[in-house]
Amino acid sequence: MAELFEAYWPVVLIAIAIGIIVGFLIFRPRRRVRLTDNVPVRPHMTIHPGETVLEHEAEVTTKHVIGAAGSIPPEPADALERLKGVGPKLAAMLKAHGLTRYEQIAKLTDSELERLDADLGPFRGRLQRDRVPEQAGYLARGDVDGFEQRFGKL
Amino acid sequence: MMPLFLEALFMSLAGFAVGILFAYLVALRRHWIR
Repeated sequence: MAELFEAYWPVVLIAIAIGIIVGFLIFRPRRRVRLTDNVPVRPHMTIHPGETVLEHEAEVTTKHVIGAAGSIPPEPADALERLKGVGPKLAAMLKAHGLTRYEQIAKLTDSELERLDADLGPFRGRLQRDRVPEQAGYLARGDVDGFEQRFGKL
Repeated sequence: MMPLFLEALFMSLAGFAVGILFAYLVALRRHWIR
């Protein structure tokens, strides 16, 4: 082994260098850009809430569908703390993200879940680890028996 | 005895693996990956 290394150390050194470069290219930190509605893409692109074309369109469409004076009654919020692995703090965070009902959580797509997860700070990975969307699916359907069978007593 | 090029190939493969492993550990410590 020693004489092998002695004979080929330049080759090994070059291979290690190439390995490090390739490894860095694989594992390098990638900047994840998240575009939201309330943070401007560039500082000079200020956002005036309520004045975007999309919001205007949404308002007009809503009024067209449910009548000029109508408004959508808010759906009652569910007790998110019933989900295993969701405490008061995480529940508040989810509410801050507009998730108040089991159905909403159950319907999250993988990419939405990933984006939400990135915002959860200390609770990162919790939703996936405790299979919260799956739990929420059971509760949204009102399938308490199925829930208790898979995740334990409520 | 092993042919010369095989020895060199194995050594370079081992080196490559060490390099990747090193980069992986560094990335892990710096939380570039989870």
